[in-house]
Amino acid sequence: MVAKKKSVKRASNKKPLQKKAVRRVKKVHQKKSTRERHVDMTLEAAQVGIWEWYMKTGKVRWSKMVYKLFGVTKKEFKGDISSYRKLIHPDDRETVVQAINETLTNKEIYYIQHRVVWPDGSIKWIEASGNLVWDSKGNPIKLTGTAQDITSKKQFELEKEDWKTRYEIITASSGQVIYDYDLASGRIIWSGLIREVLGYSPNEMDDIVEWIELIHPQDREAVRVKLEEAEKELIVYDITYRIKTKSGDYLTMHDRGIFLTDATGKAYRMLGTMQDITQQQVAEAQLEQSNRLRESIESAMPGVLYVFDLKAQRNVYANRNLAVALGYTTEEIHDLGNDLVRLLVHPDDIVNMPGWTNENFGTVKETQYRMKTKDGNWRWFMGRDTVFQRDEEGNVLQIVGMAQDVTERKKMEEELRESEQRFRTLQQASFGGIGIHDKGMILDCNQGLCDISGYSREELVGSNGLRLIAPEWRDLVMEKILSGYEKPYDVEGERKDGTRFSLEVQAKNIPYQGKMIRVTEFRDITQRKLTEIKIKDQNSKLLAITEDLKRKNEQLEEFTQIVSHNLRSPVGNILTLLSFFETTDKEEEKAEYLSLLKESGFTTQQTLHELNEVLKIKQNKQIPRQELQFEKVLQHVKSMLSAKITEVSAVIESDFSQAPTIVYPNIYLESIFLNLLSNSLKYIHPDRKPEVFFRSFHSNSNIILEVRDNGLGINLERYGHQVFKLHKTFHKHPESRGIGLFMIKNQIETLGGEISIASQVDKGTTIFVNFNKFNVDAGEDSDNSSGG
Amino acid sequence: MQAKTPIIALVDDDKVFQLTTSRTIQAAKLTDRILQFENGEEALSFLKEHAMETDSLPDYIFLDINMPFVDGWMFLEDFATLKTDLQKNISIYMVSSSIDPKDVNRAKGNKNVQDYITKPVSREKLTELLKRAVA
Repeated sequence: MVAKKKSVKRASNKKPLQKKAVRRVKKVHQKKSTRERHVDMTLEAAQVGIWEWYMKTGKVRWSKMVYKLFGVTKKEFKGDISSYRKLIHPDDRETVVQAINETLTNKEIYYIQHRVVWPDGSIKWIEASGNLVWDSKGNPIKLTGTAQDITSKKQFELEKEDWKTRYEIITASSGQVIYDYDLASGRIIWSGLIREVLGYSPNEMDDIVEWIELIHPQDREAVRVKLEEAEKELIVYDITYRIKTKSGDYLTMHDRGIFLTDATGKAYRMLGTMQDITQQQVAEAQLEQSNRLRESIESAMPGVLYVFDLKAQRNVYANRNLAVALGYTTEEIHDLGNDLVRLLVHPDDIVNMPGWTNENFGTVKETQYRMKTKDGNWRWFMGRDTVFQRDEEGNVLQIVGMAQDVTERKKMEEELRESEQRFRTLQQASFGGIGIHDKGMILDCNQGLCDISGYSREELVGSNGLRLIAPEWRDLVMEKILSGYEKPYDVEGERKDGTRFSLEVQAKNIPYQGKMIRVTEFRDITQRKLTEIKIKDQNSKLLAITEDLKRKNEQLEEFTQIVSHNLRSPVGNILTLLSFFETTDKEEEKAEYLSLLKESGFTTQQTLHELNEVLKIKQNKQIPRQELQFEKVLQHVKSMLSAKITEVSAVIESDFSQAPTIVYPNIYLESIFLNLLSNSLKYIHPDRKPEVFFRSFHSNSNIILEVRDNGLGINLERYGHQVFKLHKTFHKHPESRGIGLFMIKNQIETLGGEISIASQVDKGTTIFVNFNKFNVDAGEDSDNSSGG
Repeated sequence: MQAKTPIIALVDDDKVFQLTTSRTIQAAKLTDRILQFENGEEALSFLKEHAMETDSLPDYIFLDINMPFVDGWMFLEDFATLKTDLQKNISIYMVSSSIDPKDVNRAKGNKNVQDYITKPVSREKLTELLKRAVA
C-alpha cells in the first residue's frame, strides 16, 4: 500500500521509439543541445531531476536536482546502482528492484513512488518514471527518466489513505463490501472486502453490466424491480440475491443502499453496502432441516412420544401418534388439555404409575397402563419414561417418555399363560411322568414323574433330571437333549431307592414362559419289557417247535419213502414171484422163484426190523443218559473193530481235551462212534494209509464231535441229498448196506442234535455231530403230539 | 431203426424185478435184446460208451428210482446232458414201488420220462406197455 506502482501497457509503436532513443543516446554522449539544456533548466525549475542508468557499465548519472532530491552531495553518491539502492528507504528497496526488473523484463515504462532516507534521517517521497533506451539489435542500453519530490502530496494522500483504511477496516470487520455506482458513467467504485468476499478485484467489477451479469439469473428480475422502486421512490433498498464469485460459487448477499439525487432530484449515484449471508442462510436451512427431521422421526416413530409435566399433571408435548393410537384427532387431544390423563388413563393404572422425586437424568422407569380409545375400548400401553427437567434442588419437573401399544402382546401373553395353565393341568392329569426342564434342570413336573421315580415334587423341581437316569445312560440322554431329539428312546431309569427300571423317554422342545424348554415324558416300560422278553421267549420257542415240526415232517416223509421203496418193493416182489411161480410148469423155474421168494421175505423182515429199530429210537427219548467220556467210548469201539483196524492198518487218533465228557445215552454214543469209525474204515483210499481223527469241542455251549478221515470222500454235490437216507450207499462196496448213517442220524436228531458232513472226493470225509443243537423243551412237547 | 427187435434196458438193483421183467419180455417175444444194469451209474457208463452205436443203444429204459449209488433221479439228471450225444432217441419209463405222489409227480414232470409205472408190474401190464411202446 505504501509503494504504488502502476502497470501500463507497453506502447504499440515500439520500434520508432527505439530508433529515436538510440539517436538521443548518441547526442547525450556527445553534447547536450541547447534545447536539451532548456528542457533541463525547465525541469530544474519544476524541481524535476533527470537520471540515467547504463545497464552495461552500471553507471548512474544524475542531474543536480536528483542529488537535491536524494539529499546527498556529488561526493556522497558514487554513481552506481548499489549506492543508489542504499539511499532508498529499506522498506522500499525491494519494491524498487522489482519495478526495475519488471521494466526490463516487460519492456515497460518505468514508474515508481518510493521513499529515500536523507543523511539527516528525514524521509522524502520520490516519484520516478523513465523509459528504456535500446540499441539497434533491440538490447537495452540504458534506463532514463525523471524524478521529483512528492513528499507533500504523499502526506495528504496518506492521510486520505488512513481514513480509507480505517473505513475499510470497519467494513472488513463487518464483512461488508461497499460500492459507489455512478449512474451516468456506469462506473462503480468498490471498497471493503470485495476481493475477500467475491474474489474479484475492484477493476473486474467496475462496470454495472458486469455486476448485473454476476447476479444469479433467477434473482436478477427481483433485484431490478426492487432497485427501480427504490430509485423512483428514493427509498432505502434492502435486497437479498445470489451473486457468482470468481471461483464460480454463488454467495447470498444482503444488499442495502440508497440512491442520491442531484439538484434536479434525479438520481445519479447509488451507494450501498452488501454482506455475505450465505452461512446464515445455511444455518437457517439446517435448522429447518433438523426441524423437519424431528417431525419426520416423530411421525415415523411407532410409539407415542410425550413430555409430561409432573406438577401440572399434563402433557406439555405429545406427538400425533397419541391421537392416532387412540383414534382421536390431534385437535381433540389438544382440547382435552389437563384432563387427558384423568380422562383417558385407566384409574387403576394411574394409581400404580411410578412417582418421580429427584432421580438423576438417565433414570428410566417402565410403566404399563391402559388408555381409553375414542370408541371406548381399553388398550394397553407400555411406557418408558426418563427425566427431562429438574429444578435447582434436583426435583424432577418433567419427564419424557415413549409409549407403545402393547395390547396385542398382552393378549398373546395372556393366551400363552392360559395355554401354559392348560398344559399344567394336562400334565398333572397324565399317568406318565412329565418333566419340564431346561437342559436337564427340572422346572416343573407332574405327580406321574414322582410316582415313577419315587422322589417328591419338591425334590425334583430345581434338581437335575439326569438323576432319574441310570449313570451309564446319562451321556446319551444329554446328547438327545442338546440335539433336540424328538423320537422316543429306551434307557434305564434309576429310582430314588437306587432300583432300576426300563424307561422310555420322549421329549420335545417348546416355548415356555418366554424361553425354549424341553418337555420330557417318562414311561416306565418294565411291564412292556417283561412282556417283550416273554414274547421273544415264546417266539424263539415257537421257532424251535416249528423247526422241530419241520424235522418231524421230514422224518415222516422219510418214512413214507421207506415204506414206499424199502417195504413195498420186497412185498411187491413177493406178489410178482408168486404169480410167476403159479404160471410156470418148469420145476427148475419153480425152485428159482421159491428161492427168490424166500429172499424177498427175508428182506421184508429185515426192513421191518430196521424200521422198528428206528421207531424205537424215535419213541425212546427218555432213554437214560449218563456222563460219558469220549475217550472211553472210542477205546471200546476200537476194540470192537480191532480186526478191521488191523486189516487196513488204520491210524486212529483223538483229542477230546476241549470237551472230554458228555451226558448222553451210552448205546447211542457207541452206535455213533461205531458207525462213523466203520464207515471211515470201509471207504478207505487205496493209495494211502487210512487215518481217522476224533475230536470233541464246544461251540456256543454245544458239544461237537468231529470225525475226520482221509478216505475216498463223497461228491456231496451229487450225493449230498442221500447221505443219511436209509439203504443208500454211494460206493460200489460189498459191505455197503446204507443203514448205519440213517440209524445214527435218527438217534442224534431224536435227542435234539444234528449231523452234517463235509467231504471232498479223494481227499476224505469229515462228519460233525452237534449233540445239542436243538436242545429245547420242544422235544417233550413233540413227544406228546407224536404219541397221539 | 430196427423196429422189430428193440433193445430194452432194465436199470434196477432189484434182481427179482430184473428176472421177472426179462422173463416177461422174452415170453411175450417182444425182444431178446435186454440190457441189465444194477444201478444208474452202470447204465450211464454204458450209454456214454456206446453213444455212437445205434446197434447197441437201448430203445427203452425201465428205470427204478431207489438204487444205491446213482439212483433214478441222478440218472435222469445226467441223461439230460448226455442225451444230445446219443445217436438214438431213447424212451425212459420210470418204474418204482413208490406210490408217493411226490415221486410220481416228479417223474411225470421230467420231459425225458415217458411214463411212471408202479411196481409190481404184472405180466399183462408189462406186455401191454411194451407193445404200446414198440408200436
